[in-house]
Amino acid sequence: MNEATYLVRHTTAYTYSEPAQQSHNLACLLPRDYAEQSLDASKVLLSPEPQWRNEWRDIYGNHRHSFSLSVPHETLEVTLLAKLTRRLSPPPDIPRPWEDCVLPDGALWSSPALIQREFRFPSPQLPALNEPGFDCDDCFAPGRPVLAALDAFMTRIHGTFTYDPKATTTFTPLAEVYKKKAGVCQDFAHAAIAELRRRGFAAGYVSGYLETVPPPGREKLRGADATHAWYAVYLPGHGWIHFDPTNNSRAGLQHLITAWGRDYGDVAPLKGVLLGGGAHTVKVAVDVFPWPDQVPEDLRNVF
Amino acid sequence: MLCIPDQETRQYTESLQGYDEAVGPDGAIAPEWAPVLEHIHNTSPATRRMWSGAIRRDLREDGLTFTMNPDPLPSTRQEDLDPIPWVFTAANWAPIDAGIAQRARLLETVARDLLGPRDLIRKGLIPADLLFAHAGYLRACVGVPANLGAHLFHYAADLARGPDGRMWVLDDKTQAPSGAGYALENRTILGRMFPDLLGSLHVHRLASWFRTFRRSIMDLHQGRRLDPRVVMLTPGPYAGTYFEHAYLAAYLGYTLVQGDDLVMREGSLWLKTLEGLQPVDILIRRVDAEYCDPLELRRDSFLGVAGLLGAMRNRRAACVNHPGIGVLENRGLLPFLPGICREVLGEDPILPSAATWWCGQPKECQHVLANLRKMVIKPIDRNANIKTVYGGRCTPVQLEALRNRILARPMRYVGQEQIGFSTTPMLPGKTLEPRRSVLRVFACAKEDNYAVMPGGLGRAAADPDSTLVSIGEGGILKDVWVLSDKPDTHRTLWVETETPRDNTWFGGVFTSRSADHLFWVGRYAERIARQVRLLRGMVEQRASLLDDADISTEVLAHMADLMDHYQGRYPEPEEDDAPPPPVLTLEDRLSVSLQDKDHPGTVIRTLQALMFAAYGVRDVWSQDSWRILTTIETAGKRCCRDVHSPFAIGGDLDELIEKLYAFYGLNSGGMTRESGWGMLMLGRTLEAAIGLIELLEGLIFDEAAPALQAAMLDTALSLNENLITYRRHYRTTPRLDAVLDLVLSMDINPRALVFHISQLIDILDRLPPPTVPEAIRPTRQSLRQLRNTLMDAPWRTDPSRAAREALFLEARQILEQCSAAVTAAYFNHTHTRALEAF
Repeated sequence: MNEATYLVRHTTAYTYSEPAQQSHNLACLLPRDYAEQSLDASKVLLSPEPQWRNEWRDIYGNHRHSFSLSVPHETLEVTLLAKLTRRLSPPPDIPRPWEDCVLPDGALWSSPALIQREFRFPSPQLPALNEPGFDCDDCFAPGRPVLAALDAFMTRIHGTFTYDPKATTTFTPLAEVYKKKAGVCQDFAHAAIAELRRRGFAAGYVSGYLETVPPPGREKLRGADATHAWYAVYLPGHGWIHFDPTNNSRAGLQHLITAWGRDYGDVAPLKGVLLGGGAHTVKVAVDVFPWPDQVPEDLRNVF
Repeated sequence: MLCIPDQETRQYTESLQGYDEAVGPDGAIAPEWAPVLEHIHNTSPATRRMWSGAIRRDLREDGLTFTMNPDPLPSTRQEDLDPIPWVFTAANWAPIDAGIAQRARLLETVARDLLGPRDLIRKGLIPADLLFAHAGYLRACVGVPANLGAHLFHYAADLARGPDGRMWVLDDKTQAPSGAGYALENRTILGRMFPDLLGSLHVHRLASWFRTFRRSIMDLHQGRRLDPRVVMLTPGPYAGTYFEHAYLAAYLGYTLVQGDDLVMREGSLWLKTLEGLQPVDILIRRVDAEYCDPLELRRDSFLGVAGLLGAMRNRRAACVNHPGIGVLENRGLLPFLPGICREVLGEDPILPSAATWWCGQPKECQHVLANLRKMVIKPIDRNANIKTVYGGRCTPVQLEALRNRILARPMRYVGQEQIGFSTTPMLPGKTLEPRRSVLRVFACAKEDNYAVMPGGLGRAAADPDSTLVSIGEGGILKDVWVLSDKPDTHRTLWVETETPRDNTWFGGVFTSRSADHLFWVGRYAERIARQVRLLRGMVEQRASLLDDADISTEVLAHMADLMDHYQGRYPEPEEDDAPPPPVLTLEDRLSVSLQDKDHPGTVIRTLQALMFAAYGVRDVWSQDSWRILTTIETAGKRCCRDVHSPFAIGGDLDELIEKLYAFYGLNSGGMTRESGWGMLMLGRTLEAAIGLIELLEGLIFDEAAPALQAAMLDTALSLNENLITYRRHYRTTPRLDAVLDLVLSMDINPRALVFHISQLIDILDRLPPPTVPEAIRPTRQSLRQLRNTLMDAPWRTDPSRAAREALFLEARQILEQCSAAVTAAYFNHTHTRALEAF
């Protein structure tokens, strides 16, 4: 089994144009701890210090935090520090045709994946599609082995959609993403999930980080990494296989997993409700440092 | 069997179309119905008409059918109550009582499982897809503890009797079941009409069930505090069911709150009150779950409180019903309930559900499609986009479209057998008629079972042929009488000594929002009174035109200007070549001032604002106060209608003023002297003080001829209701300095400015100190200074116009500052807004 260890630093800094009297915040930041990834150490630093904080696991097993400030504040900074070890089993070989891996209608009592069936249903941000969101029928030729079909499908998304951060926002509806054929990783993942569900697959949204590697000879820039998102498909008998359509690759050791859910709305990293505050600006900085060589001195002993 | 072989019963029997609750096909009246029908039978047509009038009046005055018209409130509903109750013997009721309690236990088991381990799915008792396809399954609520023993604390079900004579469950209400308040209200009204009948038949009283409700909440609460505080969360006066929330909150003694009355701090819920933040432990939620926590549920909602689910996770708050309870409002569950009942409770279901097929199963779906014409097709959830369709009423084209819709998403639909409901006798006009009827029954959790209300809410179809019964579609309500074998002891909610733990009540604590509403009720009521006094004065002034036409015309013109000033109407700046503005007749002026709906200051608009503010705190008014408020509204509307009848309008204006005084009289005699009363009086007094200054500013003219000046002062005294006092004290025609003494500085004159100011100081002293004491301190100091200034009567030393105008200006500024300070110090309910980032 392959493995790699990283230190992630993810800072979100809000600045309000006038003091916020109160804020309640909901975070889905702390990475998952499961067979393919262990969370070795972690910290969520908050500034200013909240008057109340709370932690729990949500319905999908993701780590959740909520915290409230009840004194006036003009800035809010949330920093995640997490040391993770990502493990990857060798890629599975699944000789079954893709038709065998969709979860059929009406198999109510004996389906091999009762609880995972949830992920073949429409979700708040991904309403049911009545027709293909984009041209991809040929990826699913009859009898094609499932992984070949899904890889071809991922490549099709990568080829069809243009990466353009200006094209969409967090709340752009799916129909518009299909129309523009452009967006960011979140939109690529959504575009794939809705279409896969239409075909009967159980497909989920995954949030996380991607380690970026600078061009040879260049030093990596601080804060240049980013939060990332992709999708996973449930194959009965094998479990979830992760696909990153933005980079046209299956998830590898450099894909660090924060959380999964039905769509972005289930795993938004930070959201909140404010009293006062006026207009706000937000700055996000992410670093994914391979452990231990590339971790800056000052971060090696943070835990 | 009792038989009343009279013509009325014969006619009724002949019109029967199926199973009737009261009368057999042979005309035999069921014994439990006989005394009721006999009573109706022996009632003259005149009395019957009187009943229906009395019911309408009661419903309106209690606020059941209260509507704002033209409406800032969209809750336009016109319910009616039938004088004939729906009668059950103890034996007939027993299976309903047992069946509803059992069904509530069953549903609680299902909710607890679906919001937790989901074993029912793993065991194959509920299909996974049925849960996942359902819009009411709120993932954020999964795993959130109930902290109240039960997720389903308060439950209601709609029942109807099928052609086989059995009661069937048509629908389960689990989100925030409404109707218990209507049941209570209906009983109150029928209790007034048939006091003897209720007693002699030993009809079960409803109060003991409500007491169980209150006590169970205390007993089942698993929080930290020994004396948990309970509030009822309503979406507010715009909600169609607001009347019921206010009625129930007042009856149960819970503070009625809206989302922005609450705040989450340090993990707990708090209520914003005049006395500062007060802890809250239990929320009776009448806001749909999706809207109750903008942090974790619908982020665009202003109806809830951010952090509610978090407070519940930490066992600092409980919610009736649990916010995840919507999983139960899934019609697709109906066919699976009997199996779960047998497997989990080990019992056979006592009450059957209406036969239902969930189309997510291939065989069942085929059955539904093959029998579409006999089916009612419904979505599994309360989805606004999918309507209930009656297969039998569809054209072939519509049927085909329906079939295609079901085939496209079978999991989203159920087919239900259409049940022919039984009928009950109703008295829609002069004679009895059979109408299809549905029964809503209520239950609440207690220690190890559910307590079922011995009564309920009957609803009958609005027209004789209708097979549909719906509260929204003009159905007619019926009281439900469950007869007991022995007399029920009289109980009110309060008489019995309750355990010390049962201290659910914020004795006299007012939320900031209620205080705000009361303050404005005081201001608007006084503003109307002041305007109406002026309008009445104008009508009288014209009547006196005959005496001294010139002076009277002049005074009338100034009064009209004052009216414009009161209502914030100012003449357009005149252009040189513009034609002179048309001269308005008195009728035109009255008409504009009273009924112009496009201008915010008019009487009709102020009346609407008054009623809106009053309705926003419906729970604080006594029955009589509310009745007077509704008569104020009626009298006000009559004024606006009768503008063109000079004789009628005078009387109407008099009546409106009387009602406004009666409102104060009643409240000063009946409202305890708490913060709420203080706020009402603060608003009234501020408005009276401001109005008096404006009156003097408008009617004192130093330059005018003495005769005109005197006439104007006379009018000012009269409008301030001081003319008699003046004449008694001074015995002269009005002189300016004497008039000012009387209306500004005479501290024994309740209509003098100094009296108003003293009263303001007094009220502010008695209000609880605001969280920030500095917010109110400067205003109190200014008011004291103003009082001292007025007592010195400075117009006696410096009678100049400039000095007087400076005094008026200063006084007005102080009063406006007072209003602003009170608003800032006490009425803090700013909206939060949502923000999301990644």
